[in-house]
Amino acid sequence: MIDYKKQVNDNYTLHLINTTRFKQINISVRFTKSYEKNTGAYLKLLERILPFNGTKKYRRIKDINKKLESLYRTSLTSTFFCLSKNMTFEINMGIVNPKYTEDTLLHDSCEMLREILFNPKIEDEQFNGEVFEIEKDNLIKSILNVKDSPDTYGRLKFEEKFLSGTVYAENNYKNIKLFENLENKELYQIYKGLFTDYKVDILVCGDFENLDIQKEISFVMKDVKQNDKTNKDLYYKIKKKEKLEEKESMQIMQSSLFVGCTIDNLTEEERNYRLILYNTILGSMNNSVLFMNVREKNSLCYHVGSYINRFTDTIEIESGINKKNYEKTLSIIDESLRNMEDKKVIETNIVNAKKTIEIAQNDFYDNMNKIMTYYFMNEFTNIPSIEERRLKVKDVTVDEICELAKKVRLSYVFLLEGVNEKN
Amino acid sequence: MKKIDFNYDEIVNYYKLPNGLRVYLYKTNKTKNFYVTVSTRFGADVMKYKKGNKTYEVTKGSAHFLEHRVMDFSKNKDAADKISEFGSMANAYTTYNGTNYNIFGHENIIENIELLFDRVFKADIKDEDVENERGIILEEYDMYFDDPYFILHNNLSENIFTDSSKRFPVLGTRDGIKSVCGNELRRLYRDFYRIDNMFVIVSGDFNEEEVISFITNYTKDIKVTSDKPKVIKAREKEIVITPYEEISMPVNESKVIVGYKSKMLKDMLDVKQKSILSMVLGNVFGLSGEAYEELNKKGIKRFNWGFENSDGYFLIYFKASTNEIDVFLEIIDKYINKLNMDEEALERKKRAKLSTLILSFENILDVEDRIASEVFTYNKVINDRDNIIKSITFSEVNKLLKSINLESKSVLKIKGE
Repeated sequence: MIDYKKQVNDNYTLHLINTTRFKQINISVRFTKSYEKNTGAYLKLLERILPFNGTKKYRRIKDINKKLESLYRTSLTSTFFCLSKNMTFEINMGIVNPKYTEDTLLHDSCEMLREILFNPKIEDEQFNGEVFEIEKDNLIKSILNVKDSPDTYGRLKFEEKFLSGTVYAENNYKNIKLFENLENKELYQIYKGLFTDYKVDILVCGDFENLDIQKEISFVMKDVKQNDKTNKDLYYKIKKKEKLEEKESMQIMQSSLFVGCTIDNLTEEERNYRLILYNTILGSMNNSVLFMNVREKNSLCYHVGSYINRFTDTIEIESGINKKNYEKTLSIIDESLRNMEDKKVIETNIVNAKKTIEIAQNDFYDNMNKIMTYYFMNEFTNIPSIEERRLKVKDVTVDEICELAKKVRLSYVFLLEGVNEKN
Repeated sequence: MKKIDFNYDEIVNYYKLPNGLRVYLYKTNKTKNFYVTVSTRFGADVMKYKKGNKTYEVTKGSAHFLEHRVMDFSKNKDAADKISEFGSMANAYTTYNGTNYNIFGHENIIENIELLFDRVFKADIKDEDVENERGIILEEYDMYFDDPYFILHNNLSENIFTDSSKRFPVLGTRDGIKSVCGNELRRLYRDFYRIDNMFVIVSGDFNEEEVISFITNYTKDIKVTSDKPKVIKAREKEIVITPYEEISMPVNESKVIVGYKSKMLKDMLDVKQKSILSMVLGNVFGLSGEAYEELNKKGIKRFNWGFENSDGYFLIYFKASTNEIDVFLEIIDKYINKLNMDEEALERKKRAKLSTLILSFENILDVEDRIASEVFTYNKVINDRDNIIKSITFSEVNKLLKSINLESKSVLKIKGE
C-alpha cells in the first residue's frame, strides 16, 4: 500500500510516498528545466564535481565517504538525466531506516545532504581547479570510451539518425566539442542557478513519519527558490521516413542490428495501453513473436527484443547477429511486424501478454525507483496510475492490437557490422 | 522444518526431504509476485570427477551447454505455451559453482513449479538438439569476446591460475563448445542433477503448505543412487602461469588489470576472511582510501577492484581503463604493499557492511540470490553474517593482512591497434 501526499510550497514541491514495503528511505532532490544542450553538458560534469570537490566541512572525498560509512553507508549520488524535452539534475540519498539502526540517522544524513548540495568548497567563484580539470578530462575520456562498448555505441549511432530532431538523438559522444569547452567559472554559475532557475521536486519514499520528513526537508532546502521553466509538452512527432539502411564497420565479432519503427497517428488510448500490449507480444514476453521467429525457429541470434519510447511514438528492435545473417534477420523482423496484423497471431498471444504485463505491474510496488519516477513524471505529463493501466490493459482487444499494427512502419535500419566474425 | 532467522524480522523456512532435496521457503506479503528456483551444485568448476572406477574429464563449457538443453522450450512448445499462459518468465544461468533454473510469476504457483521441475528433473537431451544449440552458444560466446573488459578478466584468470577452473570462462572454450556431444551431456545430467545435489528456493507470495506438499509429492519417487560422483578438485599451485601479457585490439583507451594470487587462511572462516579482505581493500582503494585519492589526482578514475576465491586462493585484482598504465601499476603496487585498517576504520566499515545485510531482503530476487549463492559456495545458508561481522577483531584483521602474499602476480595490458 502506498499513501501519497503532495505538498506544493513556494520553494519546492514535496512528494511524500509512504510505504512500509522497504527498509530503506530514499530522498531524491530533483532540479528540472527545459533541455538545453550546453547547460546539459555542464550538469553532466556537475554530477561528477559535486561530491569530489569536497565541502566546507569535509574537505576531501575521503572525508565525505568516511562520514557516510559511519552513517551505515548512507548513499549520496548525483545524476543528470533527460526526460524527453526536460533535463533534470538529481541528488539522491538512500538511508537504512533508523528503526533498524540509530534514531539520529535521518537527521544526520539530511545534514550531509545539505552539506554536499549547498556547501561545496568554493574559491574565487569557482570549484576547486584541480578537481575541475581532473573530472572534465575524465568525463571526456569516458565519453570517448563508449566505442569500447559496441552495443552502447551502436545504439547511440542508431538513435542519432532515427530520432533526429529530438533530445534522444543528442548524445555526449556526438557533442564532445561542448565538453571540451566547459569552463569552471561558468559551471559555478550554472550550479548556483539550480537554486533559482529550476522547478524543484523532492520525492521521499519509504516508511517514515511525514512530520519528521517535512521538518528535515525544510531545513535542507531553506535556501532554494523554484522557478518552473519546464516543458509541459513532452511528445515529439517523428516524421515518417522511407526505409533507410545504414552500416558502420567495427573490429568486433558480433554485429549489432537496430531497427527503428515509427507509428502513425497514435491516439492517447493506444499510447497508454495498447502499445504496451503490442510491444509485449512483439518483443518483450517469453515467447514473443520476434523471439520465436528470429531465435527459436531460425537460430539467427542470441538475443532479440523490442522497446517503446512513449514520447516519440517509436519502437526500437535490437538484436546481436552474425553479419552473414543480416538480410535474412531483417526480412524475418519485417515479416514479424506484418505478423502482428494477423488476428490469429494476436489471439494466440494476447492473454499471455496481459499476464506478463501484470507481473511487471506488480513489480512496480517492489521498486522504489519506479514508484518515484511515476510520481515525478506526473508533474509534466499525465501518466495513468498503475491500477488504471492494469484495468485498461485487460480490456484491450485483438482487433485493437491488429489495428495498431497497421500503423507501425519499419523506418530505419542500422547495422554495426562486426568484421572479425568467426564461424 | 527448521526456521532460519536472518534477523531484522526476516525468517526463511528450511526443509530437507527424505531424498536429500533441500527446500528454502521465504514467504512474504511484501509483493504479489513469486520467484521459484531449482538449482544444482554443478557448474563450470567441475572439470574432472570420479564415479565408480572411472574418471571423467569434463569438456569446457559443458555445464553451461547443459543448462541450455535442460531449459529447452523450443522443443517443448507445450511447456513454453503454458508458461506464457501464466504470464510467467523463465530463465536460467550457470556459474562456476552451480546452475540455476528459475521462474518468476504471479499466479498458479503450483503449475509454475511443475513446469520448471518437468524441465529440470525430466530433461530429454537429444543429439540433434545439441547440434542446433551449438550456433546459439557460439553467438553468446562471441558477444562476450567483443568486450575488452571481459577479455581483461578472462585472460588474467587464464594467466594467473595454474589448475583452477577459473582459467576458463563459464561458457567454456570455442573448441569445447564445438566438441561437446550429447553422450557427455546426458552423462553429466545423470551424475550431477541428482536430487541430493539440488535445492529449491521459493520466495514471495504463496501458500506454504501447498507448496511444500507439492514439492514433496513431485519428488518422492525420484530415487537417489549410492554411486555419487566425486569431484576431483583442482590443485592450484602458488606460481602463476604467465606473469605478463600484452594484447592488441581496437580499443579507444588502453586497459590494464593486475592480479595477486594469495593463499587463504585455513584457520579462519571463509566468510570472515572475505569480509575482512573487502573492508581492508575498501579502506585503501575505496572512496575513503589513500590509494583512491592518489589515483584520482593522477586522473585515473575509471578503475575498480575486487577479489574472488578459488581452490584455496584469493585472486585480488585491480583494473583500469587508462593510457597511464605504468602510473596506475605503480600506485597499485605502492598501496597493496601497505594494506592497513585501524580500529576506527574497522568499526566504520562494520556499520557499512551491516547496512548491506539489513537491505538484503528488500526484494524476492535478492533473497533468492543470497540463499542460492551461499548454498552454491558453502553448501549451506549463512544466516548469522551480522554476528560474524560484528565479531571481527582487530587482531584477526592483522592476521589476514600478514598472510597476504604478493609474489604471485600477473599483469595484462590491452593496447589499441
